[in-house]
Amino acid sequence: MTNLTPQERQVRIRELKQAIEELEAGMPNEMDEQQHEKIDQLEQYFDAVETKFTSLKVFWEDLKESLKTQNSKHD
Amino acid sequence: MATITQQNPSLNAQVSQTNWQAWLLVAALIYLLLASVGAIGSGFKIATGSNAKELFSFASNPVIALIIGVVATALIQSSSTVTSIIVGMVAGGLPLSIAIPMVMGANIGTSLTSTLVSLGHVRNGEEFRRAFAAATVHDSFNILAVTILLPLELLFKPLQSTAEYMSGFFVSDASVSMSDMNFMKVILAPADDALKFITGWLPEVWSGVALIVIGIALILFVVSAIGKLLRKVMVGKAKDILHRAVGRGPIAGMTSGTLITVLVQSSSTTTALIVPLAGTGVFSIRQIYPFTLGANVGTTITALLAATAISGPTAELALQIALVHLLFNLLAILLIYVLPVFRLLPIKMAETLAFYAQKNKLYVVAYIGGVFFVIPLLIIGISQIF
Repeated sequence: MTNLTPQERQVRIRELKQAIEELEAGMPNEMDEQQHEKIDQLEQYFDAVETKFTSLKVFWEDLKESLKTQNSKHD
Repeated sequence: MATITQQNPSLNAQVSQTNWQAWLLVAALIYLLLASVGAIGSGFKIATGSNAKELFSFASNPVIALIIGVVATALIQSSSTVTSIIVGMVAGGLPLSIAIPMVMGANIGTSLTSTLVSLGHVRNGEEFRRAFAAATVHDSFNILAVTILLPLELLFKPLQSTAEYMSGFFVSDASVSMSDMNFMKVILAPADDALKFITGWLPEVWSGVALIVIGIALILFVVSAIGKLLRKVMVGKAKDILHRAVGRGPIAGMTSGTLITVLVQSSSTTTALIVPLAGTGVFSIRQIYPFTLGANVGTTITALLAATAISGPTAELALQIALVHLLFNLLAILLIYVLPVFRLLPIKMAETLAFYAQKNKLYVVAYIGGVFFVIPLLIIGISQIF
């Protein structure tokens, strides 16, 4: 990189800027596509409200495990 | 779905028949909801005579009324249920000065559902942080809204005055077109008569109490059943709405949140739906935020619907409390989301909460227990001592 002449560096910077712009331009479309894909799987999320107490149980078990680990470290 | 049904006409016919039956059931459940709201109103009138104000004097402190709204909604897990019951109680004599903080409390209490849903992601650290932030942005916004609007309401009554003006307009307008016949009263008369027949053998006060109990039990059942049914019927429509909102900015997000909540009649469902989506990282908290605000607006449709069940001199008051619920949520959006000074505050609050939640799960226990149960009950306890 340091062997480059100032003119060559300018060209390289221009190329990199262009590449970044292209990447940025593609980003919203890719994000939108990912969001559309997730929305297509909406059925699996739609019953989340029904399974909230299962979520609470999962959390409770995880909390107990982490408390046990903490206690065993103290012992 | 469309292609499968196009290929198979018998399946197509089966699907439309199922939809037709589901819609008929939804209509029957809405009728039952209206009848139960009416039953609560009549029950309070019969049980308390004109002494409803004295009955609720224990909640005359607005903070206590707010806390009753928070805890009741957190326990029942449905703001639609609680606001519908409040509409019935207002029709039965509950003063608006007590009902307004209760409705605001219902807004805070309902956000517990999405927070509970986010706990299911606890085993995956990053996913949990994102899901918890998405859930608590709703809590943070609602707590901030009450912090700003409850004192303003107590001082200047902007919500009550506007609702009073609007309800006067609607009720007088309705009486012009239906001066000789109260449409809702006629429709609800068979259910009203049936409920009064069931409780009629009891002494007067107890028949009123029985009507209140039956009304509340019916609302609990109906709101839950409508929610389950609409979730099945409306999943396709919800997908369409969300697809259309992608990449279109916050107004589209807010509108889609409102529409989906109106379709499924439950803000808990809408916000709980978005939490796992946020957990995947595909939807950012800034995209989720306007969607949850839309859900706050959409959920007010249930109380407005419930208010149509009330006829007679208290009809205007019932409509007023339902309108207060709508105006509170609209004004909160105007003050917090539109004003740049407040806009990012709920996001920052949620992200800070999520950061600590990911670090130590005891913070989660302290947050949920504290905000929804311990602090509210402590305040009630302290206020009873002094």
